[in-house]
Amino acid sequence: MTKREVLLNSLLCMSICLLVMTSLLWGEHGFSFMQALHEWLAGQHTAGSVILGGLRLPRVILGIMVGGTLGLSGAVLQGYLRNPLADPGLLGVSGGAALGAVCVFYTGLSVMGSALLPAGGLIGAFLAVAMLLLLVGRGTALVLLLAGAALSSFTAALTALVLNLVPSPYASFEIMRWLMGSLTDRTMSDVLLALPGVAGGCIVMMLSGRALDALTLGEDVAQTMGFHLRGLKGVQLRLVVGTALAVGSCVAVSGAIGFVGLVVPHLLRVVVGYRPSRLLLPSFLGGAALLLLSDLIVRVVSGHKDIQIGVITALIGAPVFFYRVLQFRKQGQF
Amino acid sequence: MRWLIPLIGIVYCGVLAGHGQAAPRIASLNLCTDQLALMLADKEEIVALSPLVRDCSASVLCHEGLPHVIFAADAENILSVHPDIVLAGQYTARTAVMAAREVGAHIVILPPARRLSDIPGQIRRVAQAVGHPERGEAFIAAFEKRLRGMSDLTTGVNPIAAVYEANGLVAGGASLQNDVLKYSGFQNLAVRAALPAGGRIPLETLLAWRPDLLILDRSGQGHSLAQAMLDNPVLTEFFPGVHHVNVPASLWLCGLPQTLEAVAVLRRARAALAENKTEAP
Amino acid sequence: MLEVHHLSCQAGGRTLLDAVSAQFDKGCVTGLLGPNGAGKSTLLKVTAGLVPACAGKITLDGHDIQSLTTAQLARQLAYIPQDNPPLPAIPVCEIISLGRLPYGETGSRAIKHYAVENALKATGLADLAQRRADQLSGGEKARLMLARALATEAEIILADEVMAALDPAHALSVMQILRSQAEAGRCVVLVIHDLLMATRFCDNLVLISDGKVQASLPPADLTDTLVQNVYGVTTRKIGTGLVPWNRV
Repeated sequence: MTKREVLLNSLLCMSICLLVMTSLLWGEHGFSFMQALHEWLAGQHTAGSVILGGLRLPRVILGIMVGGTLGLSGAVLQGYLRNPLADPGLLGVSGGAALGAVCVFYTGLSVMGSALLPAGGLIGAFLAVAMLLLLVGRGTALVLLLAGAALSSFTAALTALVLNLVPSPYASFEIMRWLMGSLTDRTMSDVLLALPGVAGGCIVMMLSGRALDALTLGEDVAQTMGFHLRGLKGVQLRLVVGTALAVGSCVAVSGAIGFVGLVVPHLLRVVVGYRPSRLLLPSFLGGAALLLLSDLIVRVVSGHKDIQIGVITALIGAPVFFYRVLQFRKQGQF
Repeated sequence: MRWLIPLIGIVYCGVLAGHGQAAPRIASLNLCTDQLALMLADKEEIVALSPLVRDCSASVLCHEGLPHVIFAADAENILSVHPDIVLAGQYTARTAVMAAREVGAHIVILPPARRLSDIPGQIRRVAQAVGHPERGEAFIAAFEKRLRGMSDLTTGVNPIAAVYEANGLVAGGASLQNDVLKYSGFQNLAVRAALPAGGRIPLETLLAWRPDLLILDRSGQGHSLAQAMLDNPVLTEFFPGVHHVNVPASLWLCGLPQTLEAVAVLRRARAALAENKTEAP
Repeated sequence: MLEVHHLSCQAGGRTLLDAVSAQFDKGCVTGLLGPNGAGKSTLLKVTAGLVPACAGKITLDGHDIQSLTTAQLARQLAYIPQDNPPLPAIPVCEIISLGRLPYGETGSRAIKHYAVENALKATGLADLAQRRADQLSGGEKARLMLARALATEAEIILADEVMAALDPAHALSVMQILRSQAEAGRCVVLVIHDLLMATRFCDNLVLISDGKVQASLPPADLTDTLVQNVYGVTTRKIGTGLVPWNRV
């Protein structure tokens, strides 16, 4: 790690700490933080302790987990596909995960075992990534974006269909929650549900740095340097599994939050450069910070109305996308 | 050919008159009128009901509704059953009501019941419309007798209760639930805390106010995030034992004689709270 | 010493290699000659382990390379492909340090490794070490890919038409770099189309056409007839080399 990276990472960690503290302290209801913390640790069910430990804390933890996963998987997909527009949301991976989770949750399967919910998200995400890689093959950036657009609208349409067909009268109104994502009123059980997949997936993705570096020289060279692409031990399968695990588990509890994976690596590249392995840890931290910030904005702005967090991240992320489009027009390439 | 028109007119009037003598054909477009129709009209007079009547989470007469024809309340469906009497809610199926009026059906529109005292009037209107006023009066007499039999709890300092519905909605001051709370001897949190009517209440706000009783109002079949909010572990942790109670939505979604059952449930909950309080200290 | 024994390779019902046997010595530059589609690139790819062979065996100092792990093979053998993807906006020295990946070395430790510095010097890229790779000229890129291979310190360098699209000055410098690597004891195998360059810089030539080895010989023994058989052109001798002259 260079000095610059150490500085950046510690800066990101500090901003995460700051955002975590703000998120825990600020809210609709004011109470003595220290007293609430004390009561929570003592296991007392006072208003302060339940709000702090039962509502705000899981929300903050989920913010870090989901944001980190999205940032990291964005960086990994961009490295693997050698395309700065790769993002789990834009490419339909999150959409696939949302579809899988919706299929499990609304049919009541998740009542049989709560672990089935992240499993549904995981299977959806896995199918989406696999389909994406099959569709794209060695195609260009344009093919990738077209495939992603097709996949995300297809999965969104199927999600809407499922939500309209299930018995619950509320289901059809919850489409935005799945397509835009939200961290509102999540609990510790959601954290525990998502944790194994997020931890496993993120470790797999973090360990892919060298392979991604080798891939910048092309698939043939990477292979002769000892990084197999396809097959059971291949980089491809590792990345598919890692992304599906992490993104699938996250989306199952938070819905598909877009643009984090696109924006974060893009902004951080200015600081750490274009080497994929250098981008992984900062992208995780940056994604976590961005999502915590977005969630704080949601909480400040929304009040009694429920604003989806994906709206905020899209408002932040869309300008980056516009900028990329202009660049593409100027250079004819990404 | 001009002579044809009055002839057709005469024939048509004859047909209508013939209809008038037969049993009236009753169609209902709304869950609340569905249930009143099932209680007050003869089974064979009812030609169509709305889909929700079969949903036991919303309708107290879901089993009675089973044998009847169910249709989505749109204009085409309503015309196809040739109704004589159409029962509808104030806000639903406007086009269907208009279409029924065009073909000359007798329309009865019931506004939503907002107080327990609205219920006898509604029963009476539907009973008269379907041609069985005596059945209506019997229901009303029983309803009022039961209500009179309940002790007056509306005065004094009462415990606070919140009616928590799917999606985090809290029943406001202008709702039937609010009146039921009043008769059961509770203050409604929404009124007490001046919460915005029909708004979504953040969980934090609910916990911070800490009402004495949390009333979970489950409605609708199936599973959704909205319904899952009622199963939030934070709620069971925070409102243990006697501090929470389930009231089936079907009891007070519509103003019915059965709504008094909700009052009874809540009065029992109030008694349990009081008992708990005297034991605790 | 790298040897291939009776290598055969088929793809899409076409025979790409037909029982090819050849020997590539250390300290030598071996040029693979032959018309387009003869199987030269396939031979390199099969040797590098990129394309599986249907039959035959590849040995390194007498050991079957099947017995080596991918990491071991990656340290022994560096492959430079014919066409490279667009390079990322990473400094030249970092690209070269990727050559240390087979040893598990990354980051500043790899960049500061003596092999990387040697590679920078050997390819004349020392002055461009901090330049972004996507801003290099074609000739500089070719030298960069060569430097990355050298940083691996592999005994064997397989280079596929590295001089295609290079001007004479850059082609010459790349050949000189490969030559000096061979003199330092490495085994260099390259696909080459320039007969004059081949006869001037290679120690040994392997002529391939239709997936078969037609001849394996030192450049001095290359004759008009052989060239005519392989390429279908007549040649004229200029100095010590042959230059294609007329199509027959």
